[in-house]
This record gives sequence, C-alpha cells and structure tokens, in this order.
Amino acid sequence: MPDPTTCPGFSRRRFLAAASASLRAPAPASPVAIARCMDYGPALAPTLKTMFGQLGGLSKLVAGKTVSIKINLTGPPSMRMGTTPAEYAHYTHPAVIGATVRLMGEAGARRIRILEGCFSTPDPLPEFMLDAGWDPLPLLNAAPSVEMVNTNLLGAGRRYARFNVPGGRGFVFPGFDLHPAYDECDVLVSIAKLKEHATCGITLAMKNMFGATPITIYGDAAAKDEPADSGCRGGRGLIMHGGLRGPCRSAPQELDRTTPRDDKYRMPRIVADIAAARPIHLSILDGIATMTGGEGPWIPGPLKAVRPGLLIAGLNPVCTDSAGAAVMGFDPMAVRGAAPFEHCDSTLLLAEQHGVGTRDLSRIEVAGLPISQALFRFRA
Amino acid sequence: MPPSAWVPFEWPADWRDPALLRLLDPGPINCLLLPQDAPTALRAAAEVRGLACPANIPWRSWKEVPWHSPAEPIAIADGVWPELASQTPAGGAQAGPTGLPWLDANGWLLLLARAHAARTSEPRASASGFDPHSSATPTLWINSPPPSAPPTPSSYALAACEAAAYGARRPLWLSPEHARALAAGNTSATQDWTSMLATARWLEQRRPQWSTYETFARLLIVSDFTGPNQYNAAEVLNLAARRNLAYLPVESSRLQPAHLKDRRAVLYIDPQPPPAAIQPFVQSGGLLLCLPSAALPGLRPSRELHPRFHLYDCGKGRLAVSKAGWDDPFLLAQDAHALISRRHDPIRLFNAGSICFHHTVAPGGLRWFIHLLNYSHAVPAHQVVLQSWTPLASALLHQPGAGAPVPLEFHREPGRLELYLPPIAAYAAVELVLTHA
Repeated sequence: MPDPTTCPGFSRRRFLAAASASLRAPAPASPVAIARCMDYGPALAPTLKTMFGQLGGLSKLVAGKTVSIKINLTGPPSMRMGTTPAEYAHYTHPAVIGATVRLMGEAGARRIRILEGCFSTPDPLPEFMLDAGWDPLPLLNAAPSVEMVNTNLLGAGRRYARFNVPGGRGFVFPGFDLHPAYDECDVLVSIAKLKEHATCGITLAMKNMFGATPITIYGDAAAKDEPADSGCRGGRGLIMHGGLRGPCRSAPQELDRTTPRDDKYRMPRIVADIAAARPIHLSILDGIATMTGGEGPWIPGPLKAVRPGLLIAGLNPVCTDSAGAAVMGFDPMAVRGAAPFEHCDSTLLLAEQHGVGTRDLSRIEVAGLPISQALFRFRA
Repeated sequence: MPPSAWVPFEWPADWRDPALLRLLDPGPINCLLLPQDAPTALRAAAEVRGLACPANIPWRSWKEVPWHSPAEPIAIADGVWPELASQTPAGGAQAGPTGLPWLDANGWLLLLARAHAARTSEPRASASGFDPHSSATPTLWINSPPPSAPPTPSSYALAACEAAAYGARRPLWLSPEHARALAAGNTSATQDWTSMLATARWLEQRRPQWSTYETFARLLIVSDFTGPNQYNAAEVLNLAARRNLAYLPVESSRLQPAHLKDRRAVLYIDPQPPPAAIQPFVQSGGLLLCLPSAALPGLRPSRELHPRFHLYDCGKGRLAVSKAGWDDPFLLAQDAHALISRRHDPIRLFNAGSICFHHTVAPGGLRWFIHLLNYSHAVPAHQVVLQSWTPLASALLHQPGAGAPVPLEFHREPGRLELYLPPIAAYAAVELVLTHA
C-alpha cells in the first residue's frame, strides 16, 4: 500500500500534522443506512423514511429547524450523456430531492432551502432546473416554506459567511466564504449522486459540497478584491483546480502557494477542507440510476448509464461516502495509486485526517442492506 | 416572373461561355446575377432559357436599406457567412461567457429586416399570437462576404437553409476555385454542385408552405432600431437568438395591441416613453423590461429582488426597470429569458450547443415547424434531444436529401415528451402536431 506521506507536495508541516492527528482521538463513526430502491416511483419516499428511521429519525434532526439541502446539478443543464436525462446519469434526481423535502416537512422542518451553485450562471435555481427540463414547482410545493437559492452569488443575501477549518489547519485553504444560506441553517444536508470522478476518484456527499463555493469568489471571472455578482460566470478551473490565481482577496487565501498546482493533489484536499469547515449533518447518495466512468457527460472515455438501484444515507459524510465507495466496489481505505484513487489523493483519507469521520468500515455500523448485498461494481 | 419567385445565382466572373448554362439544369435557379462585363451572348442565351437577369440588385448594408421603398428585392449585403465564429489566434473557437461557442448567424438580422420591411403594420391573427411580418414581407435577400475557407456542400446547405428558414433567399455562389473546377467538368466539383442544386430544389418546393408559417414568440423586442438605440437593440436580438429565446422584433412606431396578444413580455429598448399599447398589456398581466425613463406610472415596488433590475407590480403585470442601463446585452438577454421564465419555452434542446432554431407555427396553431440550424455543419450534431411540455400528437423529421419526412417516436417522461433526433448535419426541421391549439 503506498504511503500517503510520499504523495507529491506532502510537506514536513503536513507530515507533522498527520502525525499529531494520529495521536488524537479516532475520527468519529456514525451509522449508515443502505436500501434497495429500483426506481424513482412510489417506493422511494417510504424507503427514504425507513432509512431515516434507521438513522434515528428525521424529527430528531429537523423538527423546528431551518434545513439547507445542497443538491448536485453539475455541468450545463442542456448537456446530456447521450439521450439519457441528466437526473438518470449525473444530476441528483428531483424525485429524491422532492421525497426528502416532503419527509422533512412532515418531520416538522420549519424552513427548507434547496441550494446549488448553478453551473457557470447567476440564473435563479428554478430557472436552471427548467433549463434542465425539470419543473421546480413540485419541489417548491413538497413542504411548507421551501425556497431555492443559487449560491453562486450573494443575490439578496447581506454578506458571505465565513467558515473556517478548525484551527485554521486546512490542507489548502484555512477557510471559505460561502453563501449565507450555508450559515443561516440548523441542519445541512448533502444530496449527491453515487458517481466516479475524474479528478477525485469518487464524488459523493463531500465532493458535492465543492459546488457550494461561489463563483463570484472562486470562479474564473471572480473579481480580485471583493466579490461582485457581475463576476458570476465561468468555472472554478483557475482558482480551485489549477491554483493559478487566488480567490477574491476578501476571502481566506491559500496557506501555501508552493504546493503542487495539480488538481489531483488540490481538489481532494479542498474537498476535505470544506468538509471540515462546514459540517454536513445528513448525507444522502442517490444511487438508483447513475453513470459510470466519470462525473458527467463531458468526461472523455467510456461512460455508461447504470441502475444500481440503491440509496445510501448517513449522519457522517466520511462514513457515508466510505460506505458508498465500498458499495461501488472500491476499498475506502485505498490511498493514491489504488482504485478509485489511481491518480489522485483520497478525499476519504484527507477528511479522516481532518477528524471529520472514519473511513474504516469495521467501525461503521450499516443498517438495512449489507454492503455485500448492495455491491455494484462501477469498474466491472 | 416577379422578384418573389426569383431563385438567384451569382454567375461566376470566369464563366464566359453560354454553354455553361447547361449546369443550371434541372433547376431551380431561374435568376442570374451576371457580372457587369458579362458577354452579350451569355445574357441573351440566359434570357432565351427564361432566366431573369436583373441589371442591378441594390445590395446595401442593413443599416442603410430603405426599408419602405417599393423596390424588390430588399437586398442585405452585410450578413455573415453562417458558421461557428472564426478561430482565435490561439486556434480555439471563440466562446462566450457560458462556454457556448459564438456563432456567426443571420437569423436575428432577418427577423429584424422583416420587422422593418413589413408592408403593413396590421398583424395577422394566429393561435400563437400575431406575427406582424409574415403576410406582408417583401422579397428579402441576404448576402455576405465569402467565408475565409472554401465552403463545403454542408456549408452551402447551411447558408441556403438559414435564409429559407427565416423567409429569405441567399443567392447561390461558387468560390472561384469551385467555379473553375465545375466548368472543367471536375467530378468532385460537379457532385458538390449537384448537391447544392438539390438542396435549393428541396427548399423551393417547401417555400410556399413555409411562407404561411409565423414566428412563434413569447417576447416582443420593441425599439425604433435606429440611431443611438440601434446597437443595443441589434446586440440583444443577436444574443437572444443564440439563447433560442422565442422573440419577435417590432418597430415601436408600428406596435399595436394586436401584436401583444398572447405574448408574455415586452423588452422595450429605447429611452423614450413606450408606445401606448404597452400599458394595458402590462396592466393585464404582461411583463415590461425597460429603462427608468420609459417606466410606466402606477408602480408598486415588488417583494422580489433582482441584481440588475428594480422590480415593480403594475396592475396584474410586472415591470423590470434596469438599474444601470443596457450596458451588457449578453446579460440583458439572459435576464430577459429568466424574468419571463423558461417555463414558457415551448421547446428545449439538449446536446445542441451549435444549433440555433427558428420556431414557426402553421395557420390554425395546431402545427409547429422547428427549423434546426447546425452551425458546426462539418461535424454533425449527435444525440440531440428535443423536449416539449406541450401535448403533442405526432412528429415528423424533414431533412434535405432524405426523401419523405420520417415519423419520430416520442419518449415519454412524466409531464414531458422527448424526441431523440438522428445526427443533424447542417439542417433539419421537426414538424410537431399538437393535440390542441
């Protein structure tokens, strides 16, 4: 097994941090629920309800609370993998979002905000959904007091909210400035797709949160000093993937600009930093219908629409993503060089080093369908 | 033969021999644009064959066309050769802020020309509203400087189909190299010419029916389209077309209440007070986007917020008043689309980044005809999906060279219908029959 401390750019400072982390208390473990759900029809909501019950019940989590739900609508809404609708390949399916919102409403959530940094655009999230061919109204009507926010820009918000990695000990950034909707909530939910990822190996609940970084601050057209909504366009290639420039000066800057300008080094670390800076309270992985080969139709190489027929949920994102990785046929303990991290570092390992949660399946209780029965090998 | 029936061909300057007229068989070319120094024998032979040889076509920049002159055809000289925008010095195609490639396209200009040239301001009623142009547009031709690279048959097809889709004609034209090769009997050049004529015949066979179709529009873009208003208005028309936003331009001096029937919104470009017909439109539920100087009386601030507009309620409708003017036509087109809402888009396309479409509707409103123009004609658009939320009964695909229209199968998802289209080279059209108007 390769030694993670031999990864490119693994500095002495980082080595010492890792060593001290090993002396700290083990990263927390939390149960994960796995269920078979073959389609997005009537069985979906009862299945999710059962899973939430296995995790302690939704009421305990959301009653009387404001809930923010980060969904995953990566890439342009008018781009499909072949003719496959995005929700059957790379977008979180609206039925999963709607069922979750409905169940949260029934469980007493006071206010629910559906959030996404809509790809390269300041358009309102409902308009982005319409562009994808979805009707947002059923989602907005799935519970009382539901809103949608495109978190790419401040919009009607008063100021961006600062989220710091505990102790300021981020791998790349000491903290992030995000839309205030990520602050003005009691519960943060990440609803992701069960997918591979060209840069990070896998994209699950934690990687989904990368889309929370506003492109007014972290996008290619971001202003140098202060974020402006007029700079709300372009991707995150320059600042986040490539590290070729810094985010707006108003936001926390990189800790060490001598580290590799390699996205397969940077992105897993940035994802782990976000997971540490902004805790996720509930992670849901939509693995009913998805794709193999990458995170979206723009990825070169063999891509395939598949139907694992699975839902995975948990209260700890590292545990949930680790179970998700295992269900996909990967070893969550794998490090750089082993699938799915052949060319990148492991977000699971890095988030574990941040103390967010454990990736050790022997410490993770799985409720519902055992991993061995849920196994759907993405590299088969 | 009236100018409206002319199918023009720019006779190559090198072609001096009347015997080359045989290359026009079997049609549909019936009008030659001869060079000034064309041999008398050539002109005479052409006239013997019944070909029109107009002495002087008044080609002008679109900014200088005398739109209300009775002379026909109205001939716009400064269109563009339709294609993906020219390459950057680095070799990549230019891309807009959304990542979509820029297209050199003429659809917006042809819609504007029809708005200017309409012989009457009386619109014609239809189920989709009113097209102020369709019934009274004089003959419209468009031309452009030649493309930088020698055009291919698919490039010619796009140019011809683009003009036809918007109710105009583009004279057939041959590059000097192609003309010389064709005159010499080169096989490849002859095949390309045959293909060009076949496309032209295909279009001319359909032109009478297409001329009865009207542009489907949710939005009216209203301006005088002149003077200081011209630049912003033209840019918005161009960029709104790139978004496949269903709009029609209308001259402000010609705007009548009937133009506004069944529209969702008006984008009024000019700083002057808006035409009188707009206020009742807004009062009864329409949306007006305008400059502060063109705002209506009786406004109530809306609870909605927008980064670039002050939003107001007005009667049953809304006003979106620009905060900073029209300094960014790209954002204006984007904002207009979002403020109207894509919910009202009659169709959506997927995997169609190089495609612009012109949505037309047949008399009676029960039949839609969607012209799909692929500006990357050299690389067919694959796996294009057309989605509609409107109940549809049937769908046919029309393509030049493909024989009879082909029925398309619906793929049904809750609340929507989808059509998976075969590869589209330069042009295809989808004919949709609605279950009800």
